[in-house]
Amino acid sequence: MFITRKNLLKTSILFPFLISCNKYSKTEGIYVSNNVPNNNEYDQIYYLQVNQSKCHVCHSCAEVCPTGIINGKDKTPNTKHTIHHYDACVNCGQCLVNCPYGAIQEEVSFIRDIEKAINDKNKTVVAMPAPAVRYAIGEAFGYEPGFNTAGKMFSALRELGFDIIWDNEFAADLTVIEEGTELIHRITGKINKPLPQFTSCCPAWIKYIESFHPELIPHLSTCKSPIGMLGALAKTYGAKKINKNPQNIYTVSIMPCIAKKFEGLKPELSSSRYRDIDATINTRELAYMIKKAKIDYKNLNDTEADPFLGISTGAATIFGVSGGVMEAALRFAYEAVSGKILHTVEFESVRGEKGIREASVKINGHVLNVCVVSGLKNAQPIIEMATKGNSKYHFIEVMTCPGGCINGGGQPLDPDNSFIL
Amino acid sequence: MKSSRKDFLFYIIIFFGYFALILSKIKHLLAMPYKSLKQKRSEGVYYFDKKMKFRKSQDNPAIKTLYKEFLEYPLSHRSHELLHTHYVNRSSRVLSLKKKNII
Repeated sequence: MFITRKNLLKTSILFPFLISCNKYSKTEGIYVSNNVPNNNEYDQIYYLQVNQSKCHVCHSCAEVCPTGIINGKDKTPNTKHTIHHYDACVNCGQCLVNCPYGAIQEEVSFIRDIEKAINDKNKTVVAMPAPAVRYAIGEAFGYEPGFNTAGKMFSALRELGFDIIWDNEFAADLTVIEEGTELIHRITGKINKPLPQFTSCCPAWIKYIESFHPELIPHLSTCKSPIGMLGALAKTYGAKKINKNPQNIYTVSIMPCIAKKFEGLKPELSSSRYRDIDATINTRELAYMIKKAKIDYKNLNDTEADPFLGISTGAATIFGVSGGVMEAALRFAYEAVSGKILHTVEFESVRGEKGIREASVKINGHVLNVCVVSGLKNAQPIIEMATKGNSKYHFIEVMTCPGGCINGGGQPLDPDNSFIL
Repeated sequence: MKSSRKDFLFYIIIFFGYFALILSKIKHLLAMPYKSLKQKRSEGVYYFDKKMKFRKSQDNPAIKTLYKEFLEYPLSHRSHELLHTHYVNRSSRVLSLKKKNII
């Protein structure tokens, strides 16, 4: 039987699932395309799109979309939602996790690329899991939400064939020190850049500022996000430590996020003279890979990350929750400025569920005003204040997803929210 | 089958016993605070933060050796090269979308 266009059409009419199986794979209730983009067109593709046949026009996505692009200009109550243009979408994926019908699908996936790299004997495949992943991946295997299964996740990654595990929590610690030092230098005037300083960990927030408020770009911290730092370090310092050619190192970042796929493909992230991050997958895709390899997740032994870039602290683990970056930075800044040892490390005022939380911390007689924004939709007044130049804050943390990375667009879905599964 | 007054009392007591048990269970369920997925996850994060050996980034031994062996000090030349980045102005694309009346 020859494969002609007519034949293909016939099979697609008779067995539609055959075609769809080839193109899309289902990861934890969400369809993911197997399309791997190349580096040059990274900002000219969709990372998310609505499957029109599944949209029931319930407007859950429109309520959470921070830019409103899923609505479009002509809002009539009965038109099905679609992401009208990739330039105005920040790829946060909140529409996807809030859709009760699973109608929104991911258009980019590196799973096949990673499988190829794992089977390639010359390549050293490095896994770099983010702090928030370990608190949610257990949900796919029957654990309670919020239970840390880091040890089992590391074992599962080793069984999948990853050669080295370098923990992104380590890079989170590094980010705290670099970003905290930058903040202190900005306040004391060593760096000639405006205050308030915004955090730069959230890729969706970065894309939002780059496209909608370019006048605030000098306010963004110049630090890369933790994964950008770890990717660059893995191919320089890490490669030297394990005696490998950085050309043969393949770095895989495992994130609770869809926007990180966009970030990982950015040409700016190539300071190791290679691509710092070769592939990015999210929590759901990792759970899919573990299930596909038939690994018995619950009965795995706990193991630890590999040395050199693997040790982490409590300040790094709270990066996953909104207010965590701020709290970690305060823990660092207090000791760096005052020279005293900080005994009560909890800063309760930056925790909580409100959209905007503010706090003032006294260090050596100086007052540091900080602000935490949880959810990009709540950031509007803060952005306006910073644009006008009358902001009283020194440091502002913005996370696009309400509640922080633990509720990111790449995390397992809320079973209470969905009609499918 | 005959049932005496004694039997009847016995069944009544058993019935009310079960009734009280179920009622207390329902009360317990109602009194349990509802926690969303968000709350459960963030509580987990703060719980495991408390259990960590080190709780401040500057105490991390691996960070200390990294600075000693490779980066020298925060915001050094090498750290600027590897750990810092610049941002691209993408606003012209959004403006052209506005001109095309898409958003």
